[in-house]
Amino acid sequence: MPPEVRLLSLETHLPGAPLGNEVWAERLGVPAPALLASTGIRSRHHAAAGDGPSDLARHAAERALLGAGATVDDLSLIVFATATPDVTFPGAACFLQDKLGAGTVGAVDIRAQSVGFLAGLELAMAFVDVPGPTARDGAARILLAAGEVLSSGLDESPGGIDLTPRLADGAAAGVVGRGDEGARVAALRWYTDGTLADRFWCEFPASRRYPLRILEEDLKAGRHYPKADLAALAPIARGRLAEVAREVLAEAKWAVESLEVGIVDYVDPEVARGAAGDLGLAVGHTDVPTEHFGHVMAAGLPLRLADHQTRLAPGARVLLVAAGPGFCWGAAALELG
Amino acid sequence: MIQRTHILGVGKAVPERVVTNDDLSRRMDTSDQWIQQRTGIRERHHIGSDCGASDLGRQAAEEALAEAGLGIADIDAIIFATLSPDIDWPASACLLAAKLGARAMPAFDVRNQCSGFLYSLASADALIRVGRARHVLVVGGEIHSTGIDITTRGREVAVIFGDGAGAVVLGPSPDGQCGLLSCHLHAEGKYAEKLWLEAASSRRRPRITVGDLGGDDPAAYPRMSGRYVFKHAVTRFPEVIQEALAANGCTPPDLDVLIPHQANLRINQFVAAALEIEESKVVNNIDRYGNTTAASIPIALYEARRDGRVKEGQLVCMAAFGAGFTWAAALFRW
Repeated sequence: MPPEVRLLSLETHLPGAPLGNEVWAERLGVPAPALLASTGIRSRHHAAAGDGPSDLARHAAERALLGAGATVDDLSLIVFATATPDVTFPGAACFLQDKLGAGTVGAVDIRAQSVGFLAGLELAMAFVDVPGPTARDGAARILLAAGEVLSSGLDESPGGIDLTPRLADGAAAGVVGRGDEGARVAALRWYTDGTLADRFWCEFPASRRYPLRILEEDLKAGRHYPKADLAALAPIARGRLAEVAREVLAEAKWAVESLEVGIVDYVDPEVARGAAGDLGLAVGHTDVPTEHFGHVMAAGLPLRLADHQTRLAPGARVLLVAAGPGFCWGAAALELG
Repeated sequence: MIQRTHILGVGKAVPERVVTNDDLSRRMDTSDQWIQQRTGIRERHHIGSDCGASDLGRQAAEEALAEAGLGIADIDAIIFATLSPDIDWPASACLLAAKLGARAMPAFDVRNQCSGFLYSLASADALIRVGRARHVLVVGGEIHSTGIDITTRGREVAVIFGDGAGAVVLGPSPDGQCGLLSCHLHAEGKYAEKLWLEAASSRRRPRITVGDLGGDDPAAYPRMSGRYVFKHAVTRFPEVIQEALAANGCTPPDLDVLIPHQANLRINQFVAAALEIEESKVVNNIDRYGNTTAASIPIALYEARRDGRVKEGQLVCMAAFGAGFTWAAALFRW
């Protein structure tokens, strides 16, 4: 029997020093303690001007390759999950490929918003498993990156008060392949309900708008900033987070009590905590990424997973759950190796 | 594990409005002769009112589903290849899922420009063969016309691109023999800025400004080093086609049909000559649609199926090269 497909390594990068709520307080016209009270977020990281998600992911990817005992020459594909690519096109995967010096290895960008890491993990595992050029007869090493630079596209006026302090930057990268060490995915499911797409979105530039996708008046009206109806989404998100978590736990045949930690990622930490409670996850075993560094969409789950991997013993069970724009939600049950 | 997948249905959609080279030459300093000589394009389709890639994608998807004899309830995942999504985020796949009345399922965009359809096809193939899905809807759809500079300033790019969508349903091969033999995916990011759309750009602060919309070289419109792209395309296209053929123990003379991405008729003629493939085996329709990036291969496949050029038993290669740079090939036994 060949070794199982695993997440062989995982590394992260949060840019710069953590920024407290003071970074937004003045511009949004709200005292820092009030921002903490309304968002549940103490700090976040913002990328430096000129840095896109591929720059952040590069730091993580170089260490992830080392951690997996691999080099760029071993890679058969790069998968990059982001909603905020370096430029509109080509994708962040192409920029990362160049920064890593990865020859002509394929590089694919996917858009699955806050479940981007789960979608990318599912895809990377499939590419490793299927015989063919990317599988390299079972020896495939696929680089999975998830990264966002949301801070350069936020409404810095008082109109941004609901969302701006919640969204932030960061990246993670891991190597997926067959091996005896690393995290084994016992179950993974994710879903989309596009009827809720306009409840949490960034509408412009919008190719669907005739005759031009972006106009000066759109910029002046702030239509190029993310918007969300968090109050309307709260019960939906809470329900879906708990539902998909139960589904993967059932598929893995794991009891919630057997989890070392459940990482529950949503833009509103209160909703994430609520879903964890609904699931029966003890407070001490619940980790909400947004509380640590805001909502980093595709990168929130792996940013925290990497941290737990350094402290937990092999065999520890970790649940990943996330929801966000799309509306997308998903979960994975991981056994650390 | 399912051994092989195949395309079970194909659909196509383009906006009604036809924009000829003469139409463009009334809005910029160009001519029908100039455009035809350099690109082979006579006309393309542009939307005439609000319409997203997912709207065209829906039409194409419904046709593909009908041909496959499947309903949306039979689909387990949607992959949407585009570089011109309906909105900034979430993905056009999410909007398409809603328009098709899909149940909750994985739906994501692949953003790989001209190679996007083949990267999506490879992704769908992998998901089906490992059992994560049985039927995957793969759509390539673009609305370029709202994002190009239809003035003399933007003519190098604006004359090339057209709007359109193509869709396929990928599922298990009906007989386990015919279908997708292999996919070959490549990229070379050091040339990312040779054909790109810079703004909106998350690496800049802010990511888009009023200044990006105007000036001599506006960052909110695609920019291309045409000669550079041409030079690489005529190298990488034959290379990846040869790679796909060799991986399956075949050579160019074995090929019955080549469906190349429709970027430029001159590139495709060059590729056919380099591989010594008769031009009659090469599907070209760029004269009527322009370059529809991720949609071009499924649209060309649709037409080649309908007019009988693609038939059972044939060896069919699809190949693409474009922004990224990215390039890819997929070889089928039809």
